[in-house]
Amino acid sequence: MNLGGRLLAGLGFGVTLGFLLIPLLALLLHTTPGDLINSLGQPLVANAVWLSLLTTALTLVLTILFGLPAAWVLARWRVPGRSVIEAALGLPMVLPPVVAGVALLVTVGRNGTFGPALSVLGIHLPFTTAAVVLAQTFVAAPFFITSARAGFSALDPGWEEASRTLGASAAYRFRRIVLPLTAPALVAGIGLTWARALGEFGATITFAGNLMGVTQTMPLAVFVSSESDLRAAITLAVLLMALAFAVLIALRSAPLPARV
Amino acid sequence: MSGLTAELAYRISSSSLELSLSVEPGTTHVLLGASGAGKTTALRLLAGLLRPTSGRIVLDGSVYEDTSHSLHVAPERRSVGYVFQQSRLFPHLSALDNIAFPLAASGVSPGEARRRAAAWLERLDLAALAERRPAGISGGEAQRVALARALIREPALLLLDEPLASLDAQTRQSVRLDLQSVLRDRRHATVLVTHDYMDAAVFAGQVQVLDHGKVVQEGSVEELVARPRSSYVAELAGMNVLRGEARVIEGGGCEIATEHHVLRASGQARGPAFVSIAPGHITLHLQHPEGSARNVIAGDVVSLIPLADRVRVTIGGDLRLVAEVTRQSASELHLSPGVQVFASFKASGAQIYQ
Repeated sequence: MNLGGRLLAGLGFGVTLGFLLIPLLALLLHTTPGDLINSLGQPLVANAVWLSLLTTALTLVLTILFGLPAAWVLARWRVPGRSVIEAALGLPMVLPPVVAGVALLVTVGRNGTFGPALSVLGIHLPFTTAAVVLAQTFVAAPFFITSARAGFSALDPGWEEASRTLGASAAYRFRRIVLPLTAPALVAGIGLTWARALGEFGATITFAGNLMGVTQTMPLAVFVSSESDLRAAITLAVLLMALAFAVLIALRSAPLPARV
Repeated sequence: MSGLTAELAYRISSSSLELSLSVEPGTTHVLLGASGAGKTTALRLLAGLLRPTSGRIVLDGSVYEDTSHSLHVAPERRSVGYVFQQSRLFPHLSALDNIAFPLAASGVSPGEARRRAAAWLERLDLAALAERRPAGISGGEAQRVALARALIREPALLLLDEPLASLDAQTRQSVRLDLQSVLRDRRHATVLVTHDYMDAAVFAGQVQVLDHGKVVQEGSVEELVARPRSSYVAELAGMNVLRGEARVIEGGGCEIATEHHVLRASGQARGPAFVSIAPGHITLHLQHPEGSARNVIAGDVVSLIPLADRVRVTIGGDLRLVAEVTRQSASELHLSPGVQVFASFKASGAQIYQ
């Protein structure tokens, strides 16, 4: 490449790096370790951190519990209209989250399709912590399902055949062969889902509202405090950034477990 | 009754397989054939990885497959060990844990499973590899580990799918010796699939030759070599074989009319028959040899393969013949691809059989 080309490429690289990283650095520069620790004592911050950790953990449990079998069925069964189903399952990933929130409202909200039926059973979802988990699962689960499905599809059926001829039952094969050999794809899916759930804002505020300690997760708390208490907002933002960074780093070293 | 008996028919749109075999305990049965002959399909049917269109499999008195009663025993419930062409060792498990896998899968405690796996590694001189993953061991070692893994449950039937095919010549020889020693000690039935005549010669009691999904010949290795019934077997055994109509001629001896030639041969036969000609019995000439009682066939040299002190010459024309001549005569005749030659052989060099 000639000098002009190299200059242009280098400039593009520098501008991209600066544009993406300087705002993040600015966040760090506006806070000190002392500020961070003090802010953690504030009810707004402490409640939001605790609620975010709780709801994203529940989201992951729900996603894996139902998403793992769903991904398996998509990868291995003869499902009629598979490509249409897969495109539809991808929708929550590309829709504006606020649309997801409205969709949930008209489905299980007070006046939604199943709202009256749920009311009879004494279940009121909107504006509860359960609603936060639902909103997060709705927008984030497709990341796990897509990744797990790709992992299962790419798995050479030869391994399962070999384990069958060695006397391994279906459950044993899944645990000892399929899960370890697809672990990188599953872990990547879990990481993406968790990161998406942690950052969830639009669907949550639409469907679950913004009640401190009940539905006010970290992103919602950042939004609220950015207008009243910038220091708290920055603390939460830095924490979110650190958590996201940790997930990205962890994903780059996906494990391959072993042993009898 | 013990041992294996199987009657299998498998038909899909593109191919079909028909096979009937019985294997005594303690013996090795070889399915010999070119790729695409249906050998691997046969093993997959025996293992239960495929379901036959119709058929029945009985192993040591247990019925594994009976299509007339819609009976199919799943692979994991059969007492069958399978060594695949590519070892298919689990990449995330060490050599030791690969061998221990079948025991652990059947509920043996991990400690006991690993202890018994270690004994197998010891037996195959692989103890040093115990903790290595498959990516870190050689092809020959991987096939030995795969063999130990398939045998550790002492299955009533061992299936070997070209276990030596992916190895280089030197490794193949040493793995072959290990396999021989393992098979000698086995008290159960073994079915080995190969395209390599050497394997059949080394391992087999009985051989079935498969071609396009059908058994074209079966018998002992000696019978196969002495009387090949297809050009495939003949080629494997290094023989020429032609099919024709035989008749006895006056003054003794026999004549066989093939598609393009009438050949004098030794032996006694009438009607449809085969004639086999050993490559060493054929001599080559540049001119039509005169005034002898020899058979003469004209053709062009297709290829020359140098052997130790001889040259293997393939001749094409009305029919394909393989001759072996000394290096000296090959160079005296200036043999090269495309040269027209006359192949001649005596009636005593052509053996007729039915």
